[in-house]
Amino acid sequence: MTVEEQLLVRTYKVGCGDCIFVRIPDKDRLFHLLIDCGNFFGEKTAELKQALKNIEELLNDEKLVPKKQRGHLNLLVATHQHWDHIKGFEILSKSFKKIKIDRIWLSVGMKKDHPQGKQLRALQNRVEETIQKFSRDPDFRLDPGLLSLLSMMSLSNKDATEALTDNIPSKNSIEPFYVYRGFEEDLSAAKEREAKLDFKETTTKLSVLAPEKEIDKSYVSFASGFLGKLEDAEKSMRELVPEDQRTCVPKNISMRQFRELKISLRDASLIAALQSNHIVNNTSVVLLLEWRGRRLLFTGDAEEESWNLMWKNAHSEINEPVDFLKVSHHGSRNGTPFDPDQTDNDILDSILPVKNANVAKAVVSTKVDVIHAEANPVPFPKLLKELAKRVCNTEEYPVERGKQPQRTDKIEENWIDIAIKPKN
Amino acid sequence: MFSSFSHKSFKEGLRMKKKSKKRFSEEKLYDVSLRLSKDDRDMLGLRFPVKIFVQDPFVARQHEEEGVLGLEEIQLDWEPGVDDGPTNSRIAIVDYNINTGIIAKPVQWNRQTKQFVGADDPRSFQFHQVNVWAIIQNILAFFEDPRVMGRPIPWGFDGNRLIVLPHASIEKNAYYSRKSKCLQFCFFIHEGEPVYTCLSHDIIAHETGHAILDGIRPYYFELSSIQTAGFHEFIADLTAILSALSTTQVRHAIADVSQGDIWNSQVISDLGEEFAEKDSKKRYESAQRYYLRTAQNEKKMKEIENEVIPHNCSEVLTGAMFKILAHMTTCLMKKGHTPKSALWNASTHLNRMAFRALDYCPPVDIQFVDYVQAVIRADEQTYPMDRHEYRKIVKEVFESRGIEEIYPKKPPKSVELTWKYDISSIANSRTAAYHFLNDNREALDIPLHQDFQITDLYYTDKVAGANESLPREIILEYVWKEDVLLKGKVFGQLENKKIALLCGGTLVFDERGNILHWSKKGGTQTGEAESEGKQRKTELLAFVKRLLEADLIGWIDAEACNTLTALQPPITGYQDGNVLKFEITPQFLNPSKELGE
Repeated sequence: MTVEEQLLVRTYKVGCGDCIFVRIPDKDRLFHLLIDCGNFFGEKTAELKQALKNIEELLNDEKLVPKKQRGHLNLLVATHQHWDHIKGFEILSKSFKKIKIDRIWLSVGMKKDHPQGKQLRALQNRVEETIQKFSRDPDFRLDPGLLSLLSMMSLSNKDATEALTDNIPSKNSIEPFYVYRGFEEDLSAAKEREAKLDFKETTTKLSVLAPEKEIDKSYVSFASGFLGKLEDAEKSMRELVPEDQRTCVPKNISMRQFRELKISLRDASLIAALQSNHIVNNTSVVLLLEWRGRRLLFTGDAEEESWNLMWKNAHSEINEPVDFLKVSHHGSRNGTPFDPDQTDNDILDSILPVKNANVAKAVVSTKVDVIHAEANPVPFPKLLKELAKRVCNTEEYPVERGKQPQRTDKIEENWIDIAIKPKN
Repeated sequence: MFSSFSHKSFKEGLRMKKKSKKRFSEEKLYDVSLRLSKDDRDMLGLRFPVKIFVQDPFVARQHEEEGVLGLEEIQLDWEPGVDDGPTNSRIAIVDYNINTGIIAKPVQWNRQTKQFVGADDPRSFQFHQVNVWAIIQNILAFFEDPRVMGRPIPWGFDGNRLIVLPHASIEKNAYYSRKSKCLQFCFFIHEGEPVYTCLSHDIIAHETGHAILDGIRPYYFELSSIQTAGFHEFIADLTAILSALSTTQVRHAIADVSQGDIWNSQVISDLGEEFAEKDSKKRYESAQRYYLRTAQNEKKMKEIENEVIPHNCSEVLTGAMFKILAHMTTCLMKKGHTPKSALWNASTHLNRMAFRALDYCPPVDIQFVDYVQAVIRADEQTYPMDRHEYRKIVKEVFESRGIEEIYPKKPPKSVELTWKYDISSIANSRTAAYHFLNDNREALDIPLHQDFQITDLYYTDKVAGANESLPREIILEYVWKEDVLLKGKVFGQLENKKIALLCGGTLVFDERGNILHWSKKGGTQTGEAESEGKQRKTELLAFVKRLLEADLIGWIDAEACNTLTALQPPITGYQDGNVLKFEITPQFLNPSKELGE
């Protein structure tokens, strides 16, 4: 079987972030799909440039790509607005002239005027204000890891967002589509034609399983409750301590001591910020690619709430084994519907049943030298161990936390290639 | 003009003279106040009254039908440094709220009347400031009392004043943070009404217990075993229990309902509801007296062999101490005491017995058996006769919990030192103390090549019973660390990193230089301690493995600030280069539960 008869999923090693290139054989041509391009430490762009350079080479491969098609990326998808998924698009818009984009799909969570995303924007604004507040305070220092996390979530990551919403579309004379489950049904006939993916093989299909259109209702209700409580409490604090009952500086400790105290205190606003992180993850575009009898699931950073809604609203698509799974949210505890204490994990058992372990494959882009949360370790070692039982493309995942998988011949220097053969 | 000036000046002079006379007498009295009884200090105006809540008014409102425990007046020792805030030599209340940046005006201290002004309304922030300060100061004074530890207790950080924020932030929790040198009490809104943790006697006492233990034994913050973490929780809970029992209203309520049979009485369990309550309000209420409910347990050492949650582990000790209290109360009842009198005497005795032992504990890696040995040895020094046979009760209860070898393996007399020493030199100089330890390394199991540190050197002036002076104790603590390599795949990404095995000892001398107690934690490289040290090393490695398996460790950059500790796990790992360190995170409620509500 020649290379072009196999579907290729190339996952670039960009650090803790997603950059996934999919080459889909489609009759006499190749359909090229890029899902996300970013990494956690957005300032380290060398890996992203290297990945984009390789994508540029693949798209312009004279041996494989017909001349008419060369340089064309048929579809670019940004699953959600986090730095570790979109930072590279800023570089793409500036430096890679030989990549021509035909279509852009962005998560509806990124649409500034989406009427069902008002609460999400309020929460994001809160995050922004918090970061601004602290960045104005010369005394405030933040754990560098947490700063990266906040920066990643920040809307101040404007350049990458603008690249996706403005620069890349205008350079390619297209408009981005803000996608959600069933988005095609809401498009006008003309727009639907524009959005339609022109697969030559009629059995090839790319479906959006998430997010839901109604973001606030689906994903934000808890966080807005939290934010609401916080705002109520802040309002109460202002009422309980009227202006004449306040003082500017404490007189019983020195200014130096007060400064030190302030910088070491916790802030519930930052907790709100971390809540918004989960919501934005849940607005990830989740794609199901069906090709020649194979099913490939690309999950972005979808978390528990998104999985539950997919199980409910896209049940027939989810309730069937997949041949490939892009493990969500860098292998975190809440990125995959798996509870180590339960014997039955309905969703995981459906998409990756143990009986299919000899055919199913998976990939996770994660970072092994940082474990950043107690409740949601990245990666979650028990999950990696469980996945190892359900897929065939791993050598050995150690039982213990965070150990790097063994290098194999399948793992190239800068990416991991997974080839999918047609089922029949 | 001249005349007027002269008249004013004369009056001013007279006033100043009176004031200086008053100050002179106050100063003189203050000098001797430690030698005076509480009643004498009251009479001479060296104590002043403040009102505190003995029960969180929020919880009290929810359980009005069970009877409300409200305000109670307590007496605090006056000192020249009492000031607005309140502020005194050891505590400064700073009413700063991080969410809004608001700093509430501090309560004013009237030097003449020795009263806080404008703190009468329990709804006012000024009352809150006084309430939290008074409870913490009262507990600190209790620990420093000659009948307990008989010495000033330092804080566990650089500096002498603990900063307390009564309305630190908006969440359902309270924290002790060594890094911020402060106790943070938060508040939240429930059905439109603010609920303040700074009004909860139980929460304040629990967090103060953590802060005080951190000052007495700072290395217990650094985790080397689950029992050490459990011990921190135990002391915090015991502080809360005994502090609650020190208030007349709580003690009388328990005595009345239980009629002295506190072990079998429902009154204790009625004080706390189901902790795993889904409703966050109820969880908040019940969490406050959760320790009291869980104190009524029969948990044994066997049940915590593989435990990784510090609080679960602490229940063995808390349960044992509560049972001792119950037995002591029964014992006094049999001797004719009324329930109230029995509970008062038993709780007072247990209070002193439990905390006096802290000076006899090892400086690092405390195990429950070390504590029990310390309780017994310290009590032997205070009450050699043990006329109520309390030590027998202690021994029986701890043995029934599976804590064996409750007497030190090596009686003090058998510590045969190679070189003689002069105790007065040791007591007065850390360098002299170092020379003493260095000369006697072999006898004290300190490896020859280890550069150990004198971590503390102090003396105590304790009294027993009715102010009977006890011989002065000189206490010397020394510590060293051995690197332990995390070798093997079981440590995952931590493989080939190092963790410290904390070693050291506490020597308690009397003023003649006799060794009263020696509590030590040997290393792996010394003669007699070798097997003990190797055993400790094996246990340390097993502990790290268990923590990793249980996903209980969160990691923080070694240089990073503490901003998001609200999201910290019960145990935090610090990674500085190739060396790891684990620390506990004292907080009242597990925040991850709160976030999920």
